[in-house]
Amino acid sequence: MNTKVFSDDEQIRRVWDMEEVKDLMARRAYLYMQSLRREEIETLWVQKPENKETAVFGSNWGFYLGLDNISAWYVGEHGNLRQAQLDAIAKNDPSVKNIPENLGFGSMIAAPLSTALVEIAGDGKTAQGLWYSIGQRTDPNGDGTASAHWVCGKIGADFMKEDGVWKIWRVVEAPDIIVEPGTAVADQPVFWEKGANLMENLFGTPTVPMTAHDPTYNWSDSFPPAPEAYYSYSDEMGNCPGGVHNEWRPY
Amino acid sequence: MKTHLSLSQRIHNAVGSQQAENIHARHSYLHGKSFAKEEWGRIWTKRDDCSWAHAFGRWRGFANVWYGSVTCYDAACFSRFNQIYEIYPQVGGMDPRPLSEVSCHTLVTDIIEVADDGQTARAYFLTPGLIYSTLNGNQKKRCAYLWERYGADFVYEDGQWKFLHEQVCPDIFGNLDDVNWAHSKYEMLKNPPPPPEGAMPPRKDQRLQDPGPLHFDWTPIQKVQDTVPWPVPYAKMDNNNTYTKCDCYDE
Repeated sequence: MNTKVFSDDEQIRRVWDMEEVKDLMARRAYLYMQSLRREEIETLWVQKPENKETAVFGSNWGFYLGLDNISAWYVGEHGNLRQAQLDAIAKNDPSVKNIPENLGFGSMIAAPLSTALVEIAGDGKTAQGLWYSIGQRTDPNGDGTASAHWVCGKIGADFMKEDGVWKIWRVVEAPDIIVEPGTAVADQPVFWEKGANLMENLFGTPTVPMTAHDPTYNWSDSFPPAPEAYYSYSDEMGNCPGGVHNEWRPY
Repeated sequence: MKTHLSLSQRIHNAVGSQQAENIHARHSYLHGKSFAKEEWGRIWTKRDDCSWAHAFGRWRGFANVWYGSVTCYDAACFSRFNQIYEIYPQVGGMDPRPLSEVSCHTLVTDIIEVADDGQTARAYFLTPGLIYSTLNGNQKKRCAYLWERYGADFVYEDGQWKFLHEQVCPDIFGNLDDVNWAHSKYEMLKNPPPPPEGAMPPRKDQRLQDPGPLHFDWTPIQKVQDTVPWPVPYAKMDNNNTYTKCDCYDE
């Protein structure tokens, strides 16, 4: 609980901090949509070695720990996917050149942010936020057609200041709804069969596989967490494996 | 810029503006878990002039708001739990409330004003939302879109910002993603469906001080409603600057 009383100077700093954190996540959403993932990692995420080591990217099925592991999946595997898609498109349509400039041909991913809930730590060193995204993901099939999905869920994030600049430290994307446009959610099986969940397949092989969020039980697990007022950060409250509290799970 | 206010007052009001956004977002995440007791017990004032309104009417006074928003809401959640526990026995021991549904009212396009006296704030939001749940009595997932507008008043109380009034204005609703609301509304007007067999007449709620309808959802035979106009700059809360008029504001 953060019960500190702030001076006017401290208070206006904190007002600005909150706007900077929201701006940082909006910039992430922009770069995410433009598929500029390496630029996102290099300009928006923590860069100090000790912070890179503890950086986290999580989803319903686990966590990548450390910025190198995050980058290998988030940038590397994504790039491989886009290359494979372009290979197929260029093979079927010689008018599309198989050149790096055409990576991402026929694709679009957007995760707009709404419902911002942001808390700045009482010590001013870290911040935590939660957003909801009614997003979409569209991927080329390689034969001139494409597959589209609504992807809706919470996006939680932890931030820290490096040399006075807010940086993304930890992110959890937790999709609840994954459905093709024009089809009814009611027509999906209640439980996903192994290999049938698009977003699980795309999440690859995380460093720490675990059930971090299970939308079968709606929001019973409270993860990613809705930030509360706090003085200093601890993993127990974080967007990281230590922040997952699965005591609610029956068996 | 409100240069007639001191710098300290302007900083207080800047914090108030951010807190109005944060508190409404906290409502969204608590409501998404159906945590009514936690929401109304924590982020609402207990004042007699508080109110909560929907198209069907308005409850005034904290005891009546609690009855409608917590007592009745909990009962609906437990009723849904009773429909699923024999089908999905793994839910045994879990809090029944989040299992009911995720009523996810996202917040966008906020317009917020803080009174010059720094004691109240007013906010308008659009909420393009989703309502979904996985485990249901008919053994099918469900997911609907629900677009509404919010008019909310907040009060600064004992050093914290809290909800004072909320008015919810539903506009469009239907299954995601296989219902055309324009077509379905037209069909309902042309061929009104008979009430379901055995349907109960609408419950007369003696606690509903302002009986509805207070707002009409979209139809092809009316102009768009302006039930919760945006807030304008104001000096202090009065009956020209509130989403719930009350004799006590003009004293």
